[in-house]
Amino acid sequence: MKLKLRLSRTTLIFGGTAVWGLFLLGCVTANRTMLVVPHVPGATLVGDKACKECHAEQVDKFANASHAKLAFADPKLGTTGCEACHGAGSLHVKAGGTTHTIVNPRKSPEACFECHLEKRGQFSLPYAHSVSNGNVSCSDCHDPHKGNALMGTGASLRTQTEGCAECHTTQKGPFIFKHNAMKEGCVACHNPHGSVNQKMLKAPDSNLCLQCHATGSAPGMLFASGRDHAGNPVQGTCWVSGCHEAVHGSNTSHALRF
Amino acid sequence: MKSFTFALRTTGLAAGLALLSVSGGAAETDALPTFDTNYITFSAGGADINGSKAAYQARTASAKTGAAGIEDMRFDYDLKDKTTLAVTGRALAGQEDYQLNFKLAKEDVGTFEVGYKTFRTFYDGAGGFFPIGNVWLPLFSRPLYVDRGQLSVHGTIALPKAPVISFSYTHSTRDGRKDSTILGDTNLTGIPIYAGPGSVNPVSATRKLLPTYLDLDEKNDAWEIGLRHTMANTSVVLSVGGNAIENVNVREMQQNIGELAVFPALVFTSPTVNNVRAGSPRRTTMTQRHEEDGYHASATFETVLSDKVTVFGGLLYHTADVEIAGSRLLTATLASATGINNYPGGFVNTGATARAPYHLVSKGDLEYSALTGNLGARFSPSPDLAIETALRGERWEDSGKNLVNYSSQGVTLATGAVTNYAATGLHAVDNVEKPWTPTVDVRYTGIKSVALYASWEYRTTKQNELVRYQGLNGATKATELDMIGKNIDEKHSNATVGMSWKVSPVMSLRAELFTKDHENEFAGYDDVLGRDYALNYDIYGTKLTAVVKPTHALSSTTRYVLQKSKSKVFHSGLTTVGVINGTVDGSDSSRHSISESITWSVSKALYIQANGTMVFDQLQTMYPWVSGNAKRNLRNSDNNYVTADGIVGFTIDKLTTGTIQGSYYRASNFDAEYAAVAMPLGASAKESTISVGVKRKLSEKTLLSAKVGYFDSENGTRGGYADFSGPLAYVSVQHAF
Repeated sequence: MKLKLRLSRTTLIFGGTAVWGLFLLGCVTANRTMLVVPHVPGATLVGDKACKECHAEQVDKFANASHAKLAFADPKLGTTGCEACHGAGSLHVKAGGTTHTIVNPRKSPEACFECHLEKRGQFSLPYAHSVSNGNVSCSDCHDPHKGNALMGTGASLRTQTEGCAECHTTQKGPFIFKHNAMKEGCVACHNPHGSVNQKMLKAPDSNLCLQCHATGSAPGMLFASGRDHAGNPVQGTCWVSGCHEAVHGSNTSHALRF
Repeated sequence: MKSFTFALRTTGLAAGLALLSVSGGAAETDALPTFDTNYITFSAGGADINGSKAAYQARTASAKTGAAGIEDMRFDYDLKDKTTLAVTGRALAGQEDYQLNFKLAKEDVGTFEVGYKTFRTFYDGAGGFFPIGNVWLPLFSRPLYVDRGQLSVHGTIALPKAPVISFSYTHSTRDGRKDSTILGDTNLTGIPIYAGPGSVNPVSATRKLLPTYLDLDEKNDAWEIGLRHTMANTSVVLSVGGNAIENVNVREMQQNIGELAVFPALVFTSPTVNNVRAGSPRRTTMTQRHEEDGYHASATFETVLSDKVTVFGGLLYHTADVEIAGSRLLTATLASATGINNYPGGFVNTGATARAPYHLVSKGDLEYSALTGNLGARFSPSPDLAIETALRGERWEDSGKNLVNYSSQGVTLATGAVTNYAATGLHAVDNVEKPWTPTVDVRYTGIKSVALYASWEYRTTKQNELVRYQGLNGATKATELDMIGKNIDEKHSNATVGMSWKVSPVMSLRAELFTKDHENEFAGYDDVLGRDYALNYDIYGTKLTAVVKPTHALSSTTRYVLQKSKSKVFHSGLTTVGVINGTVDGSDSSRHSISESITWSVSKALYIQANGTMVFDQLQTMYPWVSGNAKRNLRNSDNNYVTADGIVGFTIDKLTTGTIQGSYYRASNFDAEYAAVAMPLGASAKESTISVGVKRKLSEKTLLSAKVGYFDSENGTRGGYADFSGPLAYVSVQHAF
């Protein structure tokens, strides 16, 4: 079956009129509030104290969380408390904590996208963690309730790379021959929120490696780590077959091959 | 036509006024029901795909066969003695997306939860396209997907006024086949080769295009027992745990498939253009096994000394033993005087300098341990000021060895004689690292309508890494020993300053400046003692956000993120020909990201949301300052793109709600002419989707949802071979009991 859509002037005029008519019909026949997610229709703000009744651990720790940095002294100016991300909580409180009366960002990233607009775009790219499809959640890598939302940074007991290694156990090593770029974190080469390039790479080509491995140049030559590689970009990236395939580390080659 | 346009405008205006007039008001008498418990949702969906079904699956995360089954279900049961049982599940056949979870909770006692979930991720096979000859070499039409699964058991014992005890066990798996960007060689590019003796090819026909496949078989068992308790002003958390990893991953790599170099070789008379080149088929299977048994124990505390001072700290010890094994099994097909034969580890033995391929098997072990501690304090000298400072220290140690057996066959084509080579090498590592990281965070809210914050951390590391490398010598085909000792000093400073400002009731502004100054010095770099290497890079940028809400119903959020980065690379002690010691510019990159989101609740019955992001991203390394062939073969890396999406939600009647959604993605970093001199190509794609959905209340306990749509995806990087388009349909019925 082949279906080809055509956007002609006639399509726009009649289609647009039909849609507008549909909107009009809905307005005059139904009494129901339509709200874009993650907002809760009919709910009003109740404040963090009400949330603490049941969620004391999250509320108590939140004062030290990254997101609390944006909070004003006067909460009337606008909350960056619980309801900023979970939606107005009055119906949730009234219902005794039912799940459909509150926004759960773990189940949908829409709440996070309200402020982190660029992440919405990144997660819609061809190569991204499966957040938009619900298989991965923002909170799998970020803890919004306490400490630094970038888990593993600062004085945390664990490191940022350990978070990635929970799923990517092969890449974490250790290896006999290390790639010290790993110490800068996986984000040195990958953009975990999404990329136009395969494997969520920040760049699809040799430039990714040359950032750190540029050595120098004689006329016509391109030195990386002491050897002329001028002919190599012709064939492909630095990690193609026969070259430095084991980019995360190797147990058999100090030139990072398998 | 003018009268028709006038009528259309008038109708639109009247409709708009009508919409506004009915907004606001009364209680929601026609709200559709939402089900919190005791419901089940059946759904079915699929698409009629024109074009690449594999690309459709990878891009949309949807099975080409469609999917049907239970999309969502939840049942709650009240058992005896304040005990509840919650059962949740999902079973979408086709999509291979399954989940079943049982949670038992007893008030003032605790919870016990057991569940299993699995979902499938699709891949479309990397590589295969070369634009100049419109070459498409996908090699195999293999199904590419990975199933990720997890069996989990969690429990807590939370008796009143007693420590909370928790335990968990997870068995995680990743199983399946996916694509790899380790692409294999081919000469079937359609580029004419000037292959005369003594000539320098203006272009090389060899490109790495052939797909490589990665078979994953990964298992990770993890368990942990924890205890959390608060005594007076102190809360403590203790935990012990362990994990067992068992990974066997296999890469299948192909080179020069279908390109057997004939024997005797063709004779060229310079200058001759010829499409035959000496590249013979190679098939390589690379296997890596990693089996790890690890244990960890941690203790953390937090003590509230007063309203103004809280101290906290902790210790974490982690140790593990790792068994490693691997192989790189290579078979070359060569034509010689004795005919066409397969040779394990085969290569053309053209003389003493011929480089033998890495045909090897290896086995070894590693061990590592990490002791990490932190200690910090939070001060609140006034209600408007909060300061947190902490110090983190760590001692990381890893060591291990790996015994490698190399073997290969050198073939003399003129006679067909085979020379067997075999060698053994022992690799080893002994590494100690001691990073220290002080941090400071400050927040101030003493200015009306303003919140200010700043953070700083400074990580310094002393690392000593000793490596023994016994690899093959190209000339002798025997192993030779290198001892590499590196002393590594790192100084990483990261800082952030930001503010949030409520300018007026309708406008909020947020601004953040961030900077990273990372200095890495390696003494004894590479395989020769006395070589030094230093990498210093600076990253800086800003995040600016403006939220404008001119009315209660209309809001606009604009966000601009700028990140710039520059690096300097220093080398000394290198002996290669050329002036390559000293400091050079490593990189100069910039990324501008502009995003906008507008939400407009036109009336109670209609909302509109539109989102868009535009990114200009360029990574520049050596291109500006190299010359000749080097400059010809290199480009800056552009990674620009645009995304947009929108949704309109509206009521249709008392029982029905509708949505219209659309999305757009465009990347244009593709220069087909560049393929003549270098690979790979930048991303190029154009995609759009549109869908219309309705949700209708069939009864107080039953909801029907349906959606139809159309998608269109063009992938220029794959030359159109990964394009797809077609209509899609989805229907679901949700029923509550």
